[in-house]
Amino acid sequence: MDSVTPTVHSAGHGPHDNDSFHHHHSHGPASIHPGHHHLLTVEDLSVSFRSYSDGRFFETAQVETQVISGLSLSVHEGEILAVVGASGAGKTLLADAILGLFEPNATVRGRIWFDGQLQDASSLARLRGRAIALVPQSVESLDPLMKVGRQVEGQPQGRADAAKRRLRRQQLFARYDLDESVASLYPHQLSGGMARRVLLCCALMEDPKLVVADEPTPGLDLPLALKAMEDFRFLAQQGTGVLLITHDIELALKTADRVAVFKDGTVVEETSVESFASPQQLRHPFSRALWHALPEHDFAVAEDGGLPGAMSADSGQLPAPMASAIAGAGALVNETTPGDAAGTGDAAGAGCAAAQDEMVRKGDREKGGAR
Amino acid sequence: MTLAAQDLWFSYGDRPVLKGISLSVEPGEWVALAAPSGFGKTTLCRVLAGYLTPDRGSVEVDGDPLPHRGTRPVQMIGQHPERMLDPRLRMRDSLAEGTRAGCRMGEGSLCADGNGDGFAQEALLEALGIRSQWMARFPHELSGGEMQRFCIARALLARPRYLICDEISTMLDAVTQARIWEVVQQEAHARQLGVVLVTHSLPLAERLASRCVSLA
Repeated sequence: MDSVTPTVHSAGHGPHDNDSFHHHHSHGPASIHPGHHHLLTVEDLSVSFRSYSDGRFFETAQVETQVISGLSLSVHEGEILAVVGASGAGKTLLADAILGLFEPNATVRGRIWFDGQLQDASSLARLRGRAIALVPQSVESLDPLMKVGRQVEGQPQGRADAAKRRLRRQQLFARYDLDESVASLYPHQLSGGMARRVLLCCALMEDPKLVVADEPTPGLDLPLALKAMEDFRFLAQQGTGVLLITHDIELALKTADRVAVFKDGTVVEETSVESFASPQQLRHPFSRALWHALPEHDFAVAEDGGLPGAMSADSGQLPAPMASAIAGAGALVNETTPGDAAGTGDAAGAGCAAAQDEMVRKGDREKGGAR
Repeated sequence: MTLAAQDLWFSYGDRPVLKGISLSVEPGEWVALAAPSGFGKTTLCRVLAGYLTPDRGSVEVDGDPLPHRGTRPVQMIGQHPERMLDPRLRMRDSLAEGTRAGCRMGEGSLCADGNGDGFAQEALLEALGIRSQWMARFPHELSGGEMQRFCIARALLARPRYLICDEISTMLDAVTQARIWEVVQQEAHARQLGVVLVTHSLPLAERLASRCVSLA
């Protein structure tokens, strides 16, 4: 079976209508889908970890904890797919699996195709950093003892290569508003936002076909986050596939072509961004819960079973005292702050909006200067 | 009764970051800080919480300077939970740091055995969605959002009078974010905490803050 399936994927599939459901996902009218070619296909991925259960030292048994199960998704050429979900649901492990990075105690099963070829751990490791590049989640991924410029440039092979890499690094720094003097700083001297841009530059050095961005925006202010998103869009327009792993659904909806909603270790819904226009168009309760929880919608903790992974996995429902505590909290907040919301709250909102506007204008000026 | 920062100056080496910042936060007030990336928001937070000593200026809590020893009445929750937790402590031991600090803050009757108010602690952990099986784990065995819940619990257990929240929900999904803020709002309201809030999300700032201060 495995010998047959890769050819199916390399050939892609014929054109399809809007909202036609295939390969576990659906498309919107504006989805980018050139050549109907799946750059990356993940099918039935599962990841589990062996560890010791709590118990007496000599009697503890090894247990296998399933973290990801039955996950499928596809990224097309020139498309941004956002994987959005609860924190702790295993989104980072998905990135690790695609990059062939496995912890020693992990068991990974499933099929991953890249560019039509069925991959295994060693071939994924060969693609890593070249055809598939990662923008990691944590600034801790930078070497604390190496200057930023050298880290971005990587390991040159000979003098000509070193010059080429330096030029490429300078172009990338210019594109991301990083001053040339940043190259001679150490990671701890960078602000959170600068560090993230440096990580982005690292990933783009080798001109990858697929960029896996694991939470690239926390710590960036709004103009910079939008700029990072713009750059992902720019990459996508060049034909690069972008797998954007994020918890920030607002940003995902602004940028991505399609959204895969991730919950409890699997993708519960892979759909076009357009479906998020109203909660009625979403198939899964958790997708709807995400919609309702946004600060600009209801800022509400879900009640219809779409609870964050943390609680639902073991109990499936809120323990009664906590549900009442939350209900109480909601009542409390609503009761005591109407004055705030109407008076100072509005004033505060205006203040924040004004400050943010100022920042956006500043960002625009800087961008104008850099380009 | 104010968290008052007067004319704060701070520089990293010869690169000045804070230039004469003044800020005051009343108990029960939610103040949002707005400034572009790299403008010293996190530095200001660290100065307010006493992690950094300003080159010039002062931070006073209810009229007294920040204490150099013992539990600080200003607790900070950071942007990178992996940096705020001791990598060699299991999560329950990191939490115990907060409980012990809270007991030293003098809510003594409940802390006779040094374990704090077990019932209130239990309720807080449950409200934050902290699972019991995470307690024996080390920080690297948890996700960023899971670690952050522990950081929030630890800060609240230390019974602060002021809470500094530096982009604490950027690593959380929308549902968890709404829940976590509900817990923090509830605690802050119950104990009349003054809260300093840094967030890049305008809708969130408008939801939470009662006042907005621009550093730019």
